[in-house]
Parts: sequence; structure tokens; C-alpha cells
Amino acid sequence: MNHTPVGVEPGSTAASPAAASAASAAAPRLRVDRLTVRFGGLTALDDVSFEVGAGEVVALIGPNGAGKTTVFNAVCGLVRRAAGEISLDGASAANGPTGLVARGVARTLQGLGLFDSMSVLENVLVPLESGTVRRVQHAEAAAQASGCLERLGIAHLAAVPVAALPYPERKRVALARALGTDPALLLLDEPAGGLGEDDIDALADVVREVAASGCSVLLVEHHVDFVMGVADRIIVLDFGRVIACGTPDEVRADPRVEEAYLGIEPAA
Amino acid sequence: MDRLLFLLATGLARGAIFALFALSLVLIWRAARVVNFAQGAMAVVATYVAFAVTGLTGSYWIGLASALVAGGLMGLIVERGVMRFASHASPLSGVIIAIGVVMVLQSLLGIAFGPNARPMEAPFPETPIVLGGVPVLSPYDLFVLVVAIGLMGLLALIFTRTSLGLQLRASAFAPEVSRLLGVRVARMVTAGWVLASAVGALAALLLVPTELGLNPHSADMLFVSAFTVAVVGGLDSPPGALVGGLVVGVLISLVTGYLGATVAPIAVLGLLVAVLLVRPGGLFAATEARTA
Repeated sequence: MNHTPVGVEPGSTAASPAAASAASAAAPRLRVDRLTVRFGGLTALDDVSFEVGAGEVVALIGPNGAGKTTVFNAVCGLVRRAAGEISLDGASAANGPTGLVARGVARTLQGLGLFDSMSVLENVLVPLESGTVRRVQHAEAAAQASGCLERLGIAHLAAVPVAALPYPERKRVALARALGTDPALLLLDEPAGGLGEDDIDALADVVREVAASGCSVLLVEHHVDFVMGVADRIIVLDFGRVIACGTPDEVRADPRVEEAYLGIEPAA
Repeated sequence: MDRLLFLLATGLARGAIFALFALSLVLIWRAARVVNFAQGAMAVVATYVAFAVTGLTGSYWIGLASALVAGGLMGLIVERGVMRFASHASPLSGVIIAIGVVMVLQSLLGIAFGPNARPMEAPFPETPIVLGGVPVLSPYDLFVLVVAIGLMGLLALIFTRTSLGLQLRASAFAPEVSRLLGVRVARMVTAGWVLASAVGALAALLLVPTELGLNPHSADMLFVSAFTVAVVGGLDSPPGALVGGLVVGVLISLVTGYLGATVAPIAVLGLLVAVLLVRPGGLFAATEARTA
């Protein structure tokens, strides 16, 4: 079995020492290497390997229960790895979420996980004010949070309690909270879920903008058009294993993907 | 009418103490999801420290400061030393441990200081001021109200204007999400205990001069009343603790004044039952419910 992480072209590493040194200096933003996660007798992830480079948008897709969110949880240190390595910018990722924000990782959640009794601004301020992020001063944190709200077009809602907002705005708050810390790696868990077409288009623009600024994006999403529109590469998971990987066009044409999603047997 | 005014005024002063103590229960509930049945005993330990320091220095104010420090330390020791190891599988484990802490602390206080009540002097006279022929609050009641309102204002500022307050609120409402956002939730739980225990200690210190004196059980009834306040206001709601405290304080004062002191505990329990039947989450549950 070939365990070369998907996203790394076999043989692409240059043979010369200088090139090898340059390659190690430019370690991928996220490297997941032979990751296995088990829940009791269930193998949720089985020997999963992939990389996300700087400024790259990678989508994880697959049927429900394929293990997509488990990948996120493993990267965030929320689940124990049975085997495998996860590294961020070449450094091994710690077990447990402590220090995640300080290491430049931000994540949105399927359930949003907003603090409903807090205002929009306060929600965005929490990671900026937390103990493990770079110690930004109070005023600087507020300015950074406000800038982020402005970027997402919700600055006028800064003082509004999150509980009072409709769902699309709540999703923007969750995205703003993740972007507020100026992350190097952004994990988006179903960012388009529950949004209308206009909001999805706006979201795609934000994701492209974020990636263009050098931030790596790993996203889990069911909305195929959105994924095809924003992802540089797509990794398809099924029953905890990577069954396909490539550009959107390559994945679309892959018969194994059709089989996993639609149950259509590939032609012999 | 004069009597009503007097009872209302003294009820408010007593209610402010209940509110403070209830607030300490609410803060720990929000931080750790534990009803701290040891809060009364912990506060009495801090009050004994204040008693001893005041005796040594002759200064009530140094005693008050030492009560705050001792209260905070008690919170730190109980949380780090005992409560942190309580199983989260059942809320009962925290309650049982807290009751164990009560027994240990009250026994130790009994051994160290004996069971007799020791009179504690108030820093201001307790004789009511007469305004237009009507006796109202005593200077000490006024002092209690000012301290209680000032402390609540300070806590409100801490929770709404500081980084610590933001993180305390975040970790109280959604600890797992907060961890992902970089909040050191375990530290916030400890900070919540320290803050709450200092507030509880101050409440007990303010109450004791108005009672028969300081003994290891001085805060037992305070705990019962404040627990009622916390349930009436909603265990998750600091504003509920404030309003509930004033309501219970005035209720006790009015019932004691018009029907007799023996009826007051029945009235408090009647209120508790009524709230539990009509609005089990507390009067402020709708606005302050744990949502994240």
C-alpha cells in the first residue's frame, strides 16, 4: 500500500540536498500521516494521510459517518489517536486542544458553538482574549475583532446578543470568531450548511480571500457546488479511509466516489 | 406604616447579604456545575480568620481584608484539593464531597474555637436612624447595603468589561467550545471558586454582627436562605440572585415583624416550593439559561 500522503506528488521531492533542505524548511501547514482513530471496536479513521499546504483550500467530503469530523477532532486533539502523526508547520501536534489557537489553528463547529448570551463582538473576542493566544491588549483585541466583523459585513450587529440573530448571521459570527485570531490553518465544519445561495456565494468569496492571504483552509462540506467552486483539492473519505483525492475535476470523474455516494458499482 | 417602612428597610439590608451569598453559589454553579453545600462552612472559616485578625490588630478593616483573602484561599484549596477530583458523571458526587467538607470544617472549627458563640462587633452602630419620627436603617445596615451594592457593581464590571470576566462567562456556558478557543477552562473554574468564596466570606462577615455571635454553625441558616434565593432567582442567573436576595430578605423581615420569627423559615420554604412548582428553573431562567 502506498502511504505517501495524498497531496504530495510521489517523486516530487527533489533529489539534491539543497532542494531537500528547502523542502523541509517549507513543511506543509498541516500534515496528517497514517492517522488511525478507534472508538471502542469501531475504526473511525483508518490509516488516513494527507497534507494541506500554505494558502491551499482542501475539502474533505464523504458520506455521513465517513470520519470527516473525526479528522477535525483529531487535528484539534479532541480524540485520542490510535496511531499516526499530526504535525503543524513541521511540529508535532499536541494531544488536547490547549494551545491550539496559539499555534494558529481556528475551527468552526457544525453546531456553531456560539455563546448565545454574549454579544456578537464578545463572541469574537473570546479567543482573542483567551490565555493561550498571543497576548493582545484589550483595545487591540477589540479593534481586531471589529475589523473582522466589518470584513464579514456584520459590524452593525456588534452589540446584538447572538441569540437574537437569524441563522445565516449566526454562521457569519462563527466564521468571524474563527478568522478573528488571524489563523494559519482554518478548519471549517460544514460552513455552507443551512445557507441560501447568496450567502454561499459570499462565503466562497471569503474562503478564497482567506486562502489568498496565505491561510490554509481545510473544510468539511456536503454542498457539492460550493466544494467544487472553492477547493484546490478534494479528499474523499468513506468508512474512515481515503478513497480518492485530487482536483475537483479528477474527483468528480472518479468512479469510486460515485460508488461511495450513490452506491453505483464502478464499471469493471 | 412606620413599622412597614422599618421592616422593608431592614429586609433590604438583610436581603443584600442573602443576595451576596446566593451570588457566590451562582458563581460556583456557573463555573463548575456544583451546588456548593460547603459554602457556608467555608465562609465561617474566613470569618473566624477575620475575627482573629481583628482581635490581633484591633482593626475591623484589616479583619475584613483578611476574610476576603481567606475566603479566596478556601475556594482555591477546596477546588484544587477536593472538588476537582469529583466525578462529573453524577451531580451527586460534588454534593456529597461538599457535605463532607462541611463536616470536616465545622469539626475543625469546633476543636479550634469551641462551640460557644463569640460576639463580633459591627464597625458601625446598629441602632436605627430615626428619620421624621420613623426608625429606618441603622448605620451598619447602610454600610452592608453600600458594600453589597458596591461589590455587585464590581463583579458586574469584572464579568462584562475584563478579559477574565469574558473567559469566565465563556467557560461557564460552553467549556468544550471555550477550550477550542484557547480558554484555560480549568483555571477559570478555579478562578470562579476563588471569586465566589471570597464573596461568600464577605457575606458571612457582614451577617455575623447582626446575629448572636460567631460559632461554627453561624452560616447554616444563611446558606439555607441563600440557597432558596439562588433557586428563586435561577441558579444560572446573577441578576436573579440579586433580585431573589432582596425578595427573600424583605419576605423574612415582614413575616418576622408581623407574624413572628418562627414563621419566617416556613415562609421562605413556602416561597421555594411555590417557585419550584410554577417556574422550576427560577424567575430569571428564560434569559439566563445555559445555551451554548
